[in-house]
Amino acid sequence: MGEKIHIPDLIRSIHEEAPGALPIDSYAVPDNYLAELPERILARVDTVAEEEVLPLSPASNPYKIPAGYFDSIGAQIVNKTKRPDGSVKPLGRWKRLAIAASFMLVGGVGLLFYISIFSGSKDSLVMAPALEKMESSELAGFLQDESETSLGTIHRKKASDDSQLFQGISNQELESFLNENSSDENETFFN
Amino acid sequence: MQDNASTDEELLALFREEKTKEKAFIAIINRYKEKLYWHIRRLVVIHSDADDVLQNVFIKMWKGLDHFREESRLYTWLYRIASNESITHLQKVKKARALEINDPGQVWLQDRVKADEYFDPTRLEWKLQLAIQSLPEQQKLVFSLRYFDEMPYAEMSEVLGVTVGALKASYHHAAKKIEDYLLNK
Repeated sequence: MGEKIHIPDLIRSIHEEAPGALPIDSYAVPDNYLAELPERILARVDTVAEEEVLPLSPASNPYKIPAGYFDSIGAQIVNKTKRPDGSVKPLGRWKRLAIAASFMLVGGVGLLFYISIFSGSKDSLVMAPALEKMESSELAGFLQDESETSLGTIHRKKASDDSQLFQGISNQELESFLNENSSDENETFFN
Repeated sequence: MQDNASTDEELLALFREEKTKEKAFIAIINRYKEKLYWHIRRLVVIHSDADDVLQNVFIKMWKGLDHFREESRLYTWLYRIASNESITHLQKVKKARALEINDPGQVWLQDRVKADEYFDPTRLEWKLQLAIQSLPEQQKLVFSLRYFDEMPYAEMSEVLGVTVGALKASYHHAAKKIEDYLLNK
């Protein structure tokens, strides 16, 4: 970009280079016209802008807003300031305690479960070497005894239950009852 | 606390006291919510966007008011935040829609106006809004503050950080463009 051209200087230089080509005083310009021009233009801009003939008053506004919008907006903003980052509202004391208790409960149950499994496997670990050292016959004997013991327990329990069931009833009464209620003579229980 | 009874300076003093902070904040919101809303709405066009921006303006005020230096007035400070937030919001929308950065016609903003459920192209009020949206950002801001909010140039200078002379020239250009738009379209 070249230098700014100053019109009066340009005219003067033309006149100096070619005297008589342009009559320097052809057009009369009021004193200080150019010097004062920027201020006058700015003043006019202000006036023109104010006088701008726009067909509408500033109050004419085609936009609509939801009913009651300005009544509720204040409360909405105040609520947001209580959550400055827009994050979830902080939990109350009781909610925090409840969550902590839930974690403790789950942790406790998990711990108990772990202990029970661990103790079971500990027994197995202790038993394994002892079993390896035992003879097969000893093991067979042990298992048979164990089985008999178990069955004996069941039988004894049943006998004990039966004795309790008929406790206080004489054999004679029982015999008489069964004989009376049998549909066939072959079903006599006590001879 | 009566909103109308207190000056901005008094409200600021109350805002700085923990006990009266919230009440002063509400009073400030009530004092400026409508003016700021309409300033923002004329820039972003859509109500839901204007609502988001307005809320952000007051939340920023809440966060920044303690550090607010009273070199400028509260309401020019709020207008400055509102103007900046509106422009930032529009830039985000524009980016999200992958629009070209240089869109001198601001066609996408005029489309927002036309998408309004009450838009009526035969009515002059709507034509004026379309004309405003055709302006470059700075001229739009200047025109809106001067024409609708009737803000003095000295205060506009505080809001926009531009000299009074530049603001007057800007308003003149904007008014001429709007006049041309209304006459020729």
